[in-house]
Amino acid sequence: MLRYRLLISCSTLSVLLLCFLEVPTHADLCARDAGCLRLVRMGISQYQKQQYEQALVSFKRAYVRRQVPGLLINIGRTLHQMNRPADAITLFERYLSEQPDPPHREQVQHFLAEAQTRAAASAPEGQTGTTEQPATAEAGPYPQPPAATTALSPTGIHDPPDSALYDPAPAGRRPAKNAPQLSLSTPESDAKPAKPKRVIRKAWTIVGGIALGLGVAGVLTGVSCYAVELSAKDQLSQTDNEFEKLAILGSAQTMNTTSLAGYAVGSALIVTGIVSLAYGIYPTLRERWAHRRVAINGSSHAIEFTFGGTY
Amino acid sequence: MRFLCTLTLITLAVSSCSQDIHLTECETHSDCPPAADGSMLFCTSKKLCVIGTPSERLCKDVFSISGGPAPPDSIAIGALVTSSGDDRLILDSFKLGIEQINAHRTSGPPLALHICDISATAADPLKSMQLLVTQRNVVAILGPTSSRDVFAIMPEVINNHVPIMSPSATSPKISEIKDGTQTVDRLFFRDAPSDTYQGPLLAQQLPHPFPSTERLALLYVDDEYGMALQQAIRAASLKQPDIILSYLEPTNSPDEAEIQRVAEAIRVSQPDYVIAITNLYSDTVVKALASLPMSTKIIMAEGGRSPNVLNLIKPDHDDPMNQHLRRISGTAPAADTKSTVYQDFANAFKIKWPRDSEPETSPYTAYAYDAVYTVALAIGAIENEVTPTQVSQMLSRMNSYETDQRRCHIEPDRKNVVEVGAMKYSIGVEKVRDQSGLAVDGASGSLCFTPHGDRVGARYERWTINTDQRSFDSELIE
Repeated sequence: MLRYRLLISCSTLSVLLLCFLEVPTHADLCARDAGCLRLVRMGISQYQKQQYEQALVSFKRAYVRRQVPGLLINIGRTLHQMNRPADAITLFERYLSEQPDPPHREQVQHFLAEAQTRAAASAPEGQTGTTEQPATAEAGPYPQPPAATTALSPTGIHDPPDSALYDPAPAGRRPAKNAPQLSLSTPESDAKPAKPKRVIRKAWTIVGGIALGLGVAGVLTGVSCYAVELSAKDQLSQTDNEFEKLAILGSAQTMNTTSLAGYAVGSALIVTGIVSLAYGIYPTLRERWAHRRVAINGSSHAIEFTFGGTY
Repeated sequence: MRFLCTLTLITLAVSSCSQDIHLTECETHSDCPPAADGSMLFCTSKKLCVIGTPSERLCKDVFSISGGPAPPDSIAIGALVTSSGDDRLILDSFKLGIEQINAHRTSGPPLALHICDISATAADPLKSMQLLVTQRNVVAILGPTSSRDVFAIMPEVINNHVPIMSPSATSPKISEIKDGTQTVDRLFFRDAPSDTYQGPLLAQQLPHPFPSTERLALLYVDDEYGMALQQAIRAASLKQPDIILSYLEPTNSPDEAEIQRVAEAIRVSQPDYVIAITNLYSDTVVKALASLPMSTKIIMAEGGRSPNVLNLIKPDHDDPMNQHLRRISGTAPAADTKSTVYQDFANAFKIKWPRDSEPETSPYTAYAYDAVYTVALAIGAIENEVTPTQVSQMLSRMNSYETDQRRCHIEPDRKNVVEVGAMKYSIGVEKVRDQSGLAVDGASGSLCFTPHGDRVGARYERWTINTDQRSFDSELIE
């Protein structure tokens, strides 16, 4: 009996571990959230058109939706373009410090060095470091963007400034699970941001529903078998025949095993079902809530951002 | 997400704990309440309160080849015997037969005798039968030795189609066993003759005509054997008993108070003749009847012809007990003690079991020897896998009898005769395999069966007790 339980527990643990493994990455979070993705795409588009203020708002709103570290790069680069290198430095440093092994370390270090150079160049003589950068830039008029050659691509080649932005789901390519892209977004990719995602979400919802149903059936089977097993006690007291009692005992043990299996498999399926349903339904709900909030406030620009409070 | 998983794990752990139902009822026998009929329940190794001896203590003895364990591929035959009666000699005959047959089986695995002592409780015969069928996969049963036990195991025999071969169950009721309204054939074999033959013989022991001034008492054991035999006597006798008494026989020990009570009732009625039909505890009944006046004649059936009765003999010839024993006479099934087959059997028995009583002490030693041989011949004749049904079919080939069903039909050239004995086993197997219409030449005489399984014909003797030689004197009744 102990062996059975051990086996069932191990199986259940394995299933649950799989559930843990299915937890999405930060990159996936924005890529799977149509609202976040749209904001990022919008920000990239605005960035390309050198509408840095609007781009900054878009990236910030995307970040409020999903705290994806890659978005810090976009915000940092936008701030850099807005000639606010001190703020950009803060964000690049935050990007590097937030993750133990950030996927775009080299590129961001490059951006950081660039921002530091600009900060040093624009600082009054005798002042060094990034923290001394005036924070008044937030309220002041935005300077004209620097020349395109000041932006660096991840490869270190001088690229147009808009090529060094983080895109959670670059066009034409499916994002790797743990590898968010630093690439240029195209307007075409903005047009249909979430259609494949919706299909996947639907699939998750269906799978989740089936798993949940099967899980409930499994647990009910477990409960039924347990009830039959409980009735064995009454049956035992109704006969004095040893062989009949042994048969009842054998049947009760089979019921016990079936009941345990029912509980274990049922519970695992219920968890799997809930997780799958959460994948399928939760982003949609988030999206709907966000739209509702926007509608209540009258304008998307009225949404407040709290962005670490450093700028 | 993690919360959900943790919650599930906790639920699982709790549900696993809740699953742990302890289906136990006892630690010792004293924890078990009495059964609905007041009988005692026993605590088994699985801690269940059950009626009868726990199965782990039943049928523990397996005999195949003397001194060695039964090979795993051996063919299992059950033996239902009682340690409290006279079955020791019957069991000795079974073992002798098994040993001889295994020594002469040229093909196929050896036979293994799974011996069950069914005397401890009234439930043990049926339990042992169930155990033999379900766990030991026996192909046939030797025994039971009493008619009561035959009826006890009857449902299991019918349900599982496992044939039995009883060497000493004589109740005429066995011939009438039915499955509902259907006659049951080829299952209840017995090489002991039915008491339909013995009833009239016992009645003949009374004087004819019975003096009108004399009284007759009939005492019988209240079981299937006693009931049937007393009915047969009353049906055959012109004189109906003036007093009829019965007593019960508990399975594991005699109820001496009950026996004393009926003996006293007989003494008070002052009969001139007493017919006593006894079973397991004949010695206790004989001892109780010693209080009757010496003028009272006592006639007994085969129960009185028991080695236990001989143990009552005192050293002094004129001891009142010896005088009492000398006035007892009776009838019993007899063996053909002058035949070569019997002589060979008796010699082998004495060599094999030198410390036991003489095989002549009980007629059933020869019947038991024939029983094991007929079953072994049937098993040996089966060419493929041995099954209970095939054993039944082969046993039913020993069916050559005269149309009046009083004796077996033996062809002049004896081509249809199968002889019992170690040296004749292989030839016998060939005959049973090849043909039907056979008769067996056994230690108990010529042997053949009706379609139901009853022995055709019978050989009886009139016996008395020889207190000087501590034996029974007997003469054949023609």
